[in-house]
Amino acid sequence: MTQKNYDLRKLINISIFSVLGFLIMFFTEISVFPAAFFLKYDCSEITSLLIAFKYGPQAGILTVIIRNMLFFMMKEGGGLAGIIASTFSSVLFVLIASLYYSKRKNMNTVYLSLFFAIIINAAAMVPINYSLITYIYKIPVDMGSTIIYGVIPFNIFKGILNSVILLFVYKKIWRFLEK
Amino acid sequence: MFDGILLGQYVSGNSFLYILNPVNKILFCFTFMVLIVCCQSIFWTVNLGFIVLLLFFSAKLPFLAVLKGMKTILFFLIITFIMHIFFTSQGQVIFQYSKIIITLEGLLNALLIFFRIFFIIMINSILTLTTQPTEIAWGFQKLLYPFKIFKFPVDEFALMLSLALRFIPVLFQELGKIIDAQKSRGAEFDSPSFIKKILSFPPILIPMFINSFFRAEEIAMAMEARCYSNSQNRTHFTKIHTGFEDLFFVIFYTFITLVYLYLYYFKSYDLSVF
Repeated sequence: MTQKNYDLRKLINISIFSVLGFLIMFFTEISVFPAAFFLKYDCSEITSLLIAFKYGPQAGILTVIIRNMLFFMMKEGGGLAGIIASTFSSVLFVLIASLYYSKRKNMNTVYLSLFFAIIINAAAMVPINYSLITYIYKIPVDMGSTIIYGVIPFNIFKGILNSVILLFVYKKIWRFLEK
Repeated sequence: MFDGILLGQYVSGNSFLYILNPVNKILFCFTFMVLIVCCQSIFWTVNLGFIVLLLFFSAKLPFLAVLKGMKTILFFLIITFIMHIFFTSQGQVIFQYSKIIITLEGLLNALLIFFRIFFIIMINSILTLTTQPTEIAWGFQKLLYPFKIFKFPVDEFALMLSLALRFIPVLFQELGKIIDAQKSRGAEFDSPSFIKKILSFPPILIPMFINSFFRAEEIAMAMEARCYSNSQNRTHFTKIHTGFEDLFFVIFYTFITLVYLYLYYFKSYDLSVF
């Protein structure tokens, strides 16, 4: 397989997997609790993680960006703020999870990098969510900090759930990833 | 599960918003959204919103589509509204009944948030109702050209975006087929329980992913057989023109942006002053 050949496959895989991520995001979004509509769980992160494991972090980040662009174009309501926050969160998760794996590919690095991705993502989403809540929705600061206590467990929960599904799927299809 | 869902929101029409260049419309959306988010006074937010509404109705866009889109965040909007009204304790008291106190500041804040979210959705809809997804993709591609300096793969990105748009219906169909196939094997997808819902994902995802790898291989072969190479500049099947109406539109929103920037920096005002 020549280099050019490989690049074209990479491009096509990125676009197909971002569409898959978009479809998963579109249909399986679950609001964990309705009062905070921005805390939504969907497992579309898996598609970008798989691409990141196959082609490296840059490809994973591109998958996230295309997925969210499609979402912005296709789904009504919500607005830009949610999309930007979601992009930040996913890019961070994918980047951390795949950075170390791209250097050393074995199962232990997968566990380790997913663990760090969950922790760092949960920590980094606090300031982003906080500024979003207090600035755009102007929720009073003391109220905002109570909501933040909900954001941390939500993000950890989301990360764990994504990782579990990813590991489950990864074990079934790793042969196709290594190809 | 997937019945009666239409992707995309484009509504065909022939008013001036349809002729505008997508790049122009995207820039308009960004500037207006930033203006609305930064605006701290109800009076000026409503003024800005009035301009948006004027644009919206002069282009004869369907208002009902926007309201339908608001359905998802309606509950949150109501909660925020109530929270602002009843839990803001500072400011001038305008209504008091035993422990329930409503202050002027709380009321103004609640209204401001309501208008802000409403108008942001309106601005979003102006873009997505009048522009086809392929055109928005084209616009984003043009807007991303400056990032070439940072070695961002703009041309590849454009190709990926247009491929992705093309593949949404195809993969959507395939997803439906896989779901039907798993249902016929006795899988449950409509369970109300959260855990069962999550557990139902992998049986769909695994065949979907494996199929996708094969499909990518096929597409790559088909493209190579047609001598695709990304070393040359690509041309487009449809040409999008830039006319005088674009110039007028740019002048229009630049003028409004400048007025608001002037207000932000030289006139200090707070909520209670309007």
